[in-house]
Amino acid sequence: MILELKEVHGYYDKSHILNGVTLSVGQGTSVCLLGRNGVGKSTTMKTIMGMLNPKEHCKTEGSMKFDGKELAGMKSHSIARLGIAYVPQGRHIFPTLSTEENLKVAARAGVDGSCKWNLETVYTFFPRLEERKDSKGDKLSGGEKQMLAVARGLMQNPKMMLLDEITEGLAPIIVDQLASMVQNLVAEGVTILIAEQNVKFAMKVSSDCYILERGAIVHHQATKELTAETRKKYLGL
Amino acid sequence: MTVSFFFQTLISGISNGMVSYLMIAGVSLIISGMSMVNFGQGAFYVLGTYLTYTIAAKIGFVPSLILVPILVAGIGYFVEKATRPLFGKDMLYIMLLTYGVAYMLCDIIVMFWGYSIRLLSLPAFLNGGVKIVGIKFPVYYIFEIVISGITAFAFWLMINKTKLGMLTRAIISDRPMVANLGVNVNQMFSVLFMIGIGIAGLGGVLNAPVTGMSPKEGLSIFGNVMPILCIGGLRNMDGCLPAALLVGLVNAFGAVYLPQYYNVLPAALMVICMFINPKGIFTRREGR
Ligand SMILES: Nc1ncnc2c1ncn2[C@@H]1O[C@H](COP(=O)(O)OP(=O)(O)O)[C@@H](O)[C@H]1O
Ligand SMILES: [Mg+2]
Repeated sequence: MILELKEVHGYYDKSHILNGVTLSVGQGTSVCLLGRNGVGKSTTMKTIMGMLNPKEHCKTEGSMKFDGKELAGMKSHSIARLGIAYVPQGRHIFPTLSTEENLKVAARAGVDGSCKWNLETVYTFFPRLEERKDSKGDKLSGGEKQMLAVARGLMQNPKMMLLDEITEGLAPIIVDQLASMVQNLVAEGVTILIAEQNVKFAMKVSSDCYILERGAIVHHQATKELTAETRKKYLGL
Repeated sequence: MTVSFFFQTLISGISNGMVSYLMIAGVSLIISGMSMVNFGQGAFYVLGTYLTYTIAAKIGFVPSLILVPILVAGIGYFVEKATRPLFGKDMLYIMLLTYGVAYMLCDIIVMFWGYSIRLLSLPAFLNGGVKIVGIKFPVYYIFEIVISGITAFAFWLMINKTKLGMLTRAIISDRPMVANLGVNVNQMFSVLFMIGIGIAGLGGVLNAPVTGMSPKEGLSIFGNVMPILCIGGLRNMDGCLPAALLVGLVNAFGAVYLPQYYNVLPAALMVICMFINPKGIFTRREGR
């Protein structure tokens, strides 16, 4: 297992949001966190990235191991440098930087020294970004921003990517493109943890899924085997 | 006004503007990158001047142009460390702290150099005048313009073409995301602060042979350049240079035409500009 969370609790100030999340992600696999709005998917990812720290008046308890290293207590930038690329909900593209600059700021060799992902390979993977390379981040369409956010993650040559609701607010045709993109990434050997509300998308791109409810994992199954009943019970679909 | 007097005033205005630019560029960098106003900047400028009195006497003026800014930046390193605990707290604390640091620096200058106002004598090659198309200009003014111009260009390159510059612009809009990319933001702040302080130190060096300064001016001089910051735009690093030139020229020509109002001109200009665009008249409006 490349990522293992055991009994993780997360607090924003006084509010107790994560109630003991336990999950694991195997090397080279794609795992999905499913759940309705507000159940704690994003918070789980922020916790992994060390963003629920005392400086932000937050708190994390429990154990989170990445590649055998304990993440709890580490700073965000050190966690990223272990090889975790975080693609946050809302994309967080730097609006005043051009597309190419958004990629360049993230460029870094992987932990193993590999530079497999660089401007050239990323542009081959996302030809649209090359066409828009001189446009400022805030001038891109939603789909372009999302591709850029993922591409920026890849520029870090990560071992693992955290993708938070990358389909949010995008047209079905773009969502289909993103699905084949994630499938390609998995084929390239990138490990992925993805947070989603879109079950159809999750079924296309992940092998394993965890369902969250009120900050705790309530269900764990191979994504393909999710029954209509389970989906209705936890996701209202 | 004769043609030659006009051009002499012009060059004097530009050179003064360029030296103010050096002080303000650092303030602007620190505001934009770190969201903190360093009210102590004037003290670092004056410190640059006083260090130059001593160091130039030992190793000459030209080497001081490099050594003094590095020393001043080194002191900035520790000041930045002192502001750390106040990060993310009310801006007022940092204002007070940087102002307090300025007080201390000024007193330290008095401790080492005393109150007597000095003036550095120039090396021979910077003394006197040059004739350009028949008009005589002080060589030192031209020298100031060249050195500040090179610095301004280097600063522009840093902001627009280097990774540090891109990160600085990125941090302005989204600091947590920059950290998530694996960048040690605190370390970056140290570097930015040192660059900002170092440029002010360079301004101080250039000033040493021109104006005799009392150590306590470290507290007031920031007020003199504040209009430049507002005219150029508080968060617009590209606005510093044109604004500094504008104020330099208004000062130079104001001294000739409106000598009785000389002191209020920059502030008046600032008020007018704030009416035109409170974000700075050299700030691009939305869109591009
Ligand atoms: N910064 C915050 N401060 C306080 N509460 C928050 C904050 N962010 C999210 N929450 C709360 O935490 C809960 C989980 O949010 P989130 O992790 O964003 O859910 P999801 O990503 O599953 O939609 C929600 O009830 C939300 O209101
Ligand atoms: Mg979310």
